[in-house]
Amino acid sequence: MMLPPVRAEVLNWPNRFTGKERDTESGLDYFGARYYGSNMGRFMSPDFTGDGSDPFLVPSADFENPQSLNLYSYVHNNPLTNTDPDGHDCIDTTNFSKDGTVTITAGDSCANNLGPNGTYVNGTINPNTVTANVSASGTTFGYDFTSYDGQSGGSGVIAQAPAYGPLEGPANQAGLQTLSAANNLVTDATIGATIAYGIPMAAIAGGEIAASTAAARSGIIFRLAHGMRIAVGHSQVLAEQGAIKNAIATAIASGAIQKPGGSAFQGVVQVAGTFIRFTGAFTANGVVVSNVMGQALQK
Amino acid sequence: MEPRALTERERGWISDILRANDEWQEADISRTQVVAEERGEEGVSFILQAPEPENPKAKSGRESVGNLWIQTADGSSINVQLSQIEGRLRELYVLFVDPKHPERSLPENWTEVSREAANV
Repeated sequence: MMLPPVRAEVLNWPNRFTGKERDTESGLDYFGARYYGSNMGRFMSPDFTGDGSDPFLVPSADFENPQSLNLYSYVHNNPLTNTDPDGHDCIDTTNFSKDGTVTITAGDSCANNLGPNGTYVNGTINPNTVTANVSASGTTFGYDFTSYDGQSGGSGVIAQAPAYGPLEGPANQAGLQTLSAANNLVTDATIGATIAYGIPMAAIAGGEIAASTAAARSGIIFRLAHGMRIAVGHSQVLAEQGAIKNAIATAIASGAIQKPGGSAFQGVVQVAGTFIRFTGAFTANGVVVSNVMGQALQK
Repeated sequence: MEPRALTERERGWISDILRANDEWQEADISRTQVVAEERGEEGVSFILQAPEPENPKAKSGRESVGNLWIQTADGSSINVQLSQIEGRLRELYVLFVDPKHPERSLPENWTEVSREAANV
């Protein structure tokens, strides 16, 4: 039976889930950085490169949200409120009300952007720069952002078809919008539901850093006799200390850390399938890493 | 050791860290005591205990309440880490870092040059 013309046109249209192009052979949706399998509800590769065998950075990690540590999930498994413009991370577009108010929640977990040089950076959106342009096909939001390391910034765009169709109300027609109070501080680290306290560092294999490694060259002072510990339920060896230190040193050197203000910093790296959270500070005597915790990779 | 009250120095450290964490600003440490103390290679650990959770409204599962970084006149750094479980303060860990003399342990006294609390 012949499909009605309109139906046939829809089936042939390559743009599918959230407007992304679907590969006709694989059936996967192309999100720029990664392919998304809509039948499985997950990305086909982890966010950022890496298969867990080598250290790499986890710039999208949000200590408040364990879902952010699932590198295969789509918009932290919350597609009702989050969208993914580039396959890396999400910006919340939570409220398209008919009374003319658009609310964008740009939390830290969703404030990851492509920098001006195309490098993926972890940063925050400036709430004062968000703009909205309404057209017949939907609404496009623009914003400026600053990376957590303060070294790079730029602008980003996300196209979001409103839930109610073209936005109504004078405020939206004028491109006016409000941005909810963005919490620009990483305030929490709910990496696991239960964090064991004081498990000794022996659970993480010993071994110092080799002279040729990033950590050795960095001059970073590691003070981890107390701090290096792992979450409950993972008594097996998770990663080797030298590899952890190298990953941390690389993260610090590349600016893939979060600074809530002042000299202190925190960050997350992945080493041998384990998420490693670390804290430290830029002191007068150099960089000091004072605390390291690990959590098994969620896949 | 017998449980003891917090010293003024310890209370000051904890208060500074609590002020840097929105969720812990209202925590009550008036009945918090030190119930154990252990000196390690790099720092000193003080185990804390109170009859009731200092912050019963705490929602965070994060172990760390925050850090305090102190720079001293002799070029050393002191990192004070405060941790919790389920709204109860658990440990005050004082890490001493003297890059010129790595074997040096936490001295009894020092002169502060700067102090900074952070919610990390």
